[in-house]
Amino acid sequence: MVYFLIIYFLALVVFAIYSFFGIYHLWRFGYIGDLTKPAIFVYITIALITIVISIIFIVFRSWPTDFNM
Amino acid sequence: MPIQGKYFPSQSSNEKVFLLLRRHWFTYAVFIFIACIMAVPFVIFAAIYFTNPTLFEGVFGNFSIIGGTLYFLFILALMLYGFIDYYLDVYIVTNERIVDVDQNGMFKRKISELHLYQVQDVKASVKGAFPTFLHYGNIHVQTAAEKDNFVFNSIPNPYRVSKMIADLHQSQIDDVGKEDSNGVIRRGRKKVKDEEFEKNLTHEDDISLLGKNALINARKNTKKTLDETDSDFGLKAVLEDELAVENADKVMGGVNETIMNDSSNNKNEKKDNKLTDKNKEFKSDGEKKDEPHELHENEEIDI
Repeated sequence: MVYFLIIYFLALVVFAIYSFFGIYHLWRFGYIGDLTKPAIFVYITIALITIVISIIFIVFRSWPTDFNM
Repeated sequence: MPIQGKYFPSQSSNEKVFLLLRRHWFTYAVFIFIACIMAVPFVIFAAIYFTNPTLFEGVFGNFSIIGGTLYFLFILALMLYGFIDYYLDVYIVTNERIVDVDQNGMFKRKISELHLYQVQDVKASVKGAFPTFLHYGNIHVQTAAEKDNFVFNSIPNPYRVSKMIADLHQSQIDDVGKEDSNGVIRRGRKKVKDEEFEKNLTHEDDISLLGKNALINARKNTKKTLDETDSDFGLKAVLEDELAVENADKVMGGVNETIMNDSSNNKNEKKDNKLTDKNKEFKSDGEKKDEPHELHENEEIDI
């Protein structure tokens, strides 16, 4: 079961790297007054809410301590 | 009305942006629609979880939370990808050129430029039900010689945009010139005038190509430079302006008459000799004559 958690956190790292590059593109190539900055804000907000809620669920659930699925 | 600011790396300081175009919002709405369809299983699972949480106890529940979260983040990342591809894909039309900023995904970005004088033809096309109702379509900019054509995909109000590009193109070929099918730039009217004006500054015996405004401005600048210290300059300047306009009219009248005479017979050599003699005479005497032709010749020297 712990494999799930490891895969989950690895996927979160990949998602964070991908998001960083995406946000960098929007930040760099966007123009003043356009929708890039609001889009960055909305994206970060939704992603953080999703990740925080999922972590809360994970923390409050019972996970077996052995490494056997 | 030009848009202020710098919008692409090679934009010069006096280059004005007239259009900043992106694809119609409906093209991204399609992307959102696909993402919504993908999110349906996630929503169903979430609804079941909150209505009947006992089903999600044990391994299945843990797997659902982790899998559901990653699936939702995947959809979110997909929407970010679509937004970057949609929103950073920009078409810019300035008073000098058309710039196509083509963003393909995250790491492929291409910027193509086309000078307006290279434009041969601009076509707008609207095909399909959604483009017809939502007023968007494609614009094909046909270029001269062997250059690739520019295609603006799914642009809002394509007919208005194509007309504006055509107008800017016309304005550009008036200023600079037009490239023909062999890639040779044929100079525009204004450019020819400017070049001839510069040429005339060094050849003072040919003023036929000088414009009336050039004569007025030259005379004003000369007077201003000479009379800078005059205390009555304000009043004098007004009088000088009126005089400059009047004299420029006379000069241009004389020039036109001279051109007509030149084309009708073969007296150029005699006129040139006469002109040279009179210029010499003027320079030596500093006197002005009353005849129209001589007035124009004197004006030329005065300027």
